Amino acid sequence: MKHISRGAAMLLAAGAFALARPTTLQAQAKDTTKATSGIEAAAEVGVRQFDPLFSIVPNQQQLGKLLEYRDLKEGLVIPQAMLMYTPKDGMGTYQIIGRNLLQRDQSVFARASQPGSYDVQVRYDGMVHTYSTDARSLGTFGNGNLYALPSPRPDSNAWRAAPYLSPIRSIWDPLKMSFALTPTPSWDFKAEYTHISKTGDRPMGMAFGGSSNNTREILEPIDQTVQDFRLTQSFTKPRFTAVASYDFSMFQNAFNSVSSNNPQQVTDQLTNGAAVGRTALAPNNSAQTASLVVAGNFPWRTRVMATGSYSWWRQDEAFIPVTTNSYYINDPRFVVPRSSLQGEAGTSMINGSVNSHPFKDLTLTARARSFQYRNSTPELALTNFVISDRSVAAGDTSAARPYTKTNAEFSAGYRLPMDFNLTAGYAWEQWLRDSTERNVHTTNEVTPRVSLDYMGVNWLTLRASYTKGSRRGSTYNAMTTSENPNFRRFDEADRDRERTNFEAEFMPVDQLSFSLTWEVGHDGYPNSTYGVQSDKSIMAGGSAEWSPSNRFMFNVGYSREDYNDLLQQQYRTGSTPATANNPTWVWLNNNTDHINTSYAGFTAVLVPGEWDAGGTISMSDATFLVASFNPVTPTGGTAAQNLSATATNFPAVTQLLHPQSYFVRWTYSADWAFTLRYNVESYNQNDYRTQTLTPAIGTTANHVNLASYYQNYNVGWWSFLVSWHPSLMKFGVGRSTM
Amino acid sequence: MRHLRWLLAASALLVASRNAPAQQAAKAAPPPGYAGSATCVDCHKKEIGGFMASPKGKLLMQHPRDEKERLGCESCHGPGKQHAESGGEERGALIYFSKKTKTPVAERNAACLQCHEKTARVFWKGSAHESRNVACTDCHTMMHPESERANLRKDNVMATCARCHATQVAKQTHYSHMPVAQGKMECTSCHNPHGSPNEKLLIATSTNETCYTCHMEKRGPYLWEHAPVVESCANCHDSHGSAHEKMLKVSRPRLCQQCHASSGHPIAPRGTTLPADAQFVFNRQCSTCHFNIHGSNHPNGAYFNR
Repeated sequence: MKHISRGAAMLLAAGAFALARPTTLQAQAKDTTKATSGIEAAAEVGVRQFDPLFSIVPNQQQLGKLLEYRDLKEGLVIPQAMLMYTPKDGMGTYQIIGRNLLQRDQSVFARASQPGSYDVQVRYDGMVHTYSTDARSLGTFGNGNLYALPSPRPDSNAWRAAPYLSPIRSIWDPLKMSFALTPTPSWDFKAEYTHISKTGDRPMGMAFGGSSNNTREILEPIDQTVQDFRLTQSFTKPRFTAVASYDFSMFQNAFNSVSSNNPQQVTDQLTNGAAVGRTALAPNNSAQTASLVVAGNFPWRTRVMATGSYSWWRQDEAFIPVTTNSYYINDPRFVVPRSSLQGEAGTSMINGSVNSHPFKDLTLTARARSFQYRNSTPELALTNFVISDRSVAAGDTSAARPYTKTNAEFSAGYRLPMDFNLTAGYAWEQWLRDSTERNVHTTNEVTPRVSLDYMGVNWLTLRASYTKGSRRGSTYNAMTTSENPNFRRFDEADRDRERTNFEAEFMPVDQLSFSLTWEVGHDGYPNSTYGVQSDKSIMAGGSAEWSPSNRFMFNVGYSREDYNDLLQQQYRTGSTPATANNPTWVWLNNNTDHINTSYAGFTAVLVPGEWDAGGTISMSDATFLVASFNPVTPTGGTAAQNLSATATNFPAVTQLLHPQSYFVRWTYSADWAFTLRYNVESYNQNDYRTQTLTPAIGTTANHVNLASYYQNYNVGWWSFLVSWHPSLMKFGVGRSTM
Repeated sequence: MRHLRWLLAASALLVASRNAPAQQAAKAAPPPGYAGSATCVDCHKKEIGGFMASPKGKLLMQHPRDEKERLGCESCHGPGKQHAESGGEERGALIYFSKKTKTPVAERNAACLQCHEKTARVFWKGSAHESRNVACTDCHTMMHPESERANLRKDNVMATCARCHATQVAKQTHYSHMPVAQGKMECTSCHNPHGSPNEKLLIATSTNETCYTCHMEKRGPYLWEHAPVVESCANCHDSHGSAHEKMLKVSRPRLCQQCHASSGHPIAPRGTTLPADAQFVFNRQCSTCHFNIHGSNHPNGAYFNR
């Protein structure tokens, strides 16, 4: 309710403001192109109703995907409401606009500004993220942030009969405020404050046993706050600009841990796990960042810019106890040397660039940048771990993973005859990592690129670019003895990269335009015998827009995307080279995604000034396949080992989203308009990973889960909206009915 | 509060004292070569009418603050006396921004930058868009804005960017994506199209710090850090959208198996047999146990399962 009450409070404040002032509201039509003064108001109010004529009326459990990022409720809807004050001199904007009021995804925007002087903005924009509406589980959540289960523990039949939970979602209440002041054209001051409150929950897993049994899917309780305060001061003269800023941000989590009863055990066991598992959640943290930008303009239209940024991060959340298992709580092997992290990290960045036009048609740009992530958190050495509150393992020492990324780039652009614009560039990037923590200490990548743009005639725009990069690293060090010596991690491996892009816009006549896009990307890993071999993407699409007159507009578009990621690995059973080098245990994985997206839309003025209509229809059709295979049949091991080394194709996953929206609007007078809108949306997903699950897997309840997934639906809904002073809501009337 | 009141009062006085002479000057004769906005109105009444009602129009036409703004229409379009005296036949030194303009992009952009080369536009020169000859008016229009904010040619930021960045925008229709199409975010929530000292025109100094503006819980530092997470969220996620859950670039468990090639369960090419492969291939896959994959603050969280 917090978000709704905030929005309502802002509107009440606006209403009080309106009533307190003498109204000069005119009953006549308001043309926004004319400067009027006084208070004006507009609103759009209506009703929404799901269509009962659909043969399948979705139930609550089917609506997960439909409600993913929105709040669709039947009954009264207020898509828009607006209150605006214009002073007599016409200078200044004072307005408050509400959208989707009294819904979870409502937004309220208030602004008071005078061009060139000040600008005060306050924006609240509620956001809902629904993860599931069909999750099922047993037990309760309460004392000690514990997902409790009854004793004795429910059996698999009881889990399969578990009741549905309320919709699982997180709700964000972002409130953003800014105050900008321009006392002179040279000075700009801005203060910004962001407060995001996140509440709700989302699914998470918890393990109680080894790698092959005893897990439970629970919900992560969410009660988090994000705050950010930023001050920016800039000074500008024709030849000089300086911008300084300071930012303080803070994350607070009301839950530093969550616990769950083990679905298999009611008492702690020495080797079979604990009755309760407890995990840490995201700790509170804070950061400060200071930055400075200095830029100067010099002869030959040369601009020199230098930027520096430095940030400090802190995290000192107290550690939660090592384990819940009473057999280990007081065991000296698990003593933690200190009570909190004393974490200190941060980033720093320096950037310098020069841009110059020594000749009329020549542009030269040079840039150098260094970015560093540092982490000075003191190490923490633990003698032993209790894995999943169950099994004892050798401990480890925590380690930071700092890195430095340095870039340099030079490019030259030349305006050729016939208005072709040719740009060629050469970039270099170097990563320096800690070689005791990562496989490769140094990688260097060089990337030449060229682009050609044409805008010589007003009916044609062409843009093409080609980039070819080559990354090579220093010696690749395996981090463990069990790692295959020929394996390479993709983010550190040698890489050859190509990117080709082509865009065209063609407008043979003013009423007709076409656009084409073709984009190909390929990352190849030439020295990775094992690991990612290649990553390819192709996107091709086109669109057309036709306006035969100023009363009609039609548009269509289509795109096809193909992604292909090829992985090669080798199954192994141990850490000795002999088992690592069984060539028949090699397997490959081809992960392919195909996505077709198409849309069409139209708007039509049926009777000028009275009737207009429109509609959109789109379809996103995706299929992805995880195809795995062995180049040769696995042999040489035991029957069980050979079977484990045998790769299996996963079934194809398909997703089809098909929304449609149509409206017809009658403008009765300049003050009143009526909109009838009809939305249809269908969703069809076939995903073996979730839809075959029941809350308990197998005959024993050793894997219990929420058995939730986005179910299929086919739903329609009507909206009837009455708009008062629609011309004041020029940028959204009749639109906000999602 | 008292200090705030003094600050506001002082600012108001400063603004008022500066505006007064400028307003008087607005009525002065135009400088040589310039026709004056009143002359423009004679022929371009319709266009100027709409512009006059906009905040920028009110500033330039009614309340100019300095000599540059006092030029009104000609503060952007350049001197128009020759154009006016020829009855509109000659272009003269005028800068045109319309679709059929012959004015070079750099010249058009320079007109905008004479006032706007500050704050968010300070890095325009040398930026990716500037080097590809993108004009300010490819995205913005002063006379016929279609958007509620920023005077865009399309009714929102995403539609504006879609003109060239069709691939990224198409990903908004994928199975998992951020709520950009729902209007809760914009491309500009993460990118500054006017230039940035950062890669991909990001608003923050790295990919991760951009993500942390909303997902601050991932920032840490954590006791146990996951190296690819620390280096770039984009190692695993495609922030524009994906056919896979949580905007992952590749479906789990294969995503994890790209790197985790040591002995034990990670390297096995698991099949789809229940219950043997349940927590490896179904539902949350690897994250069933390793749910704290972004980092753990638990003393026993080295494997991100606590």
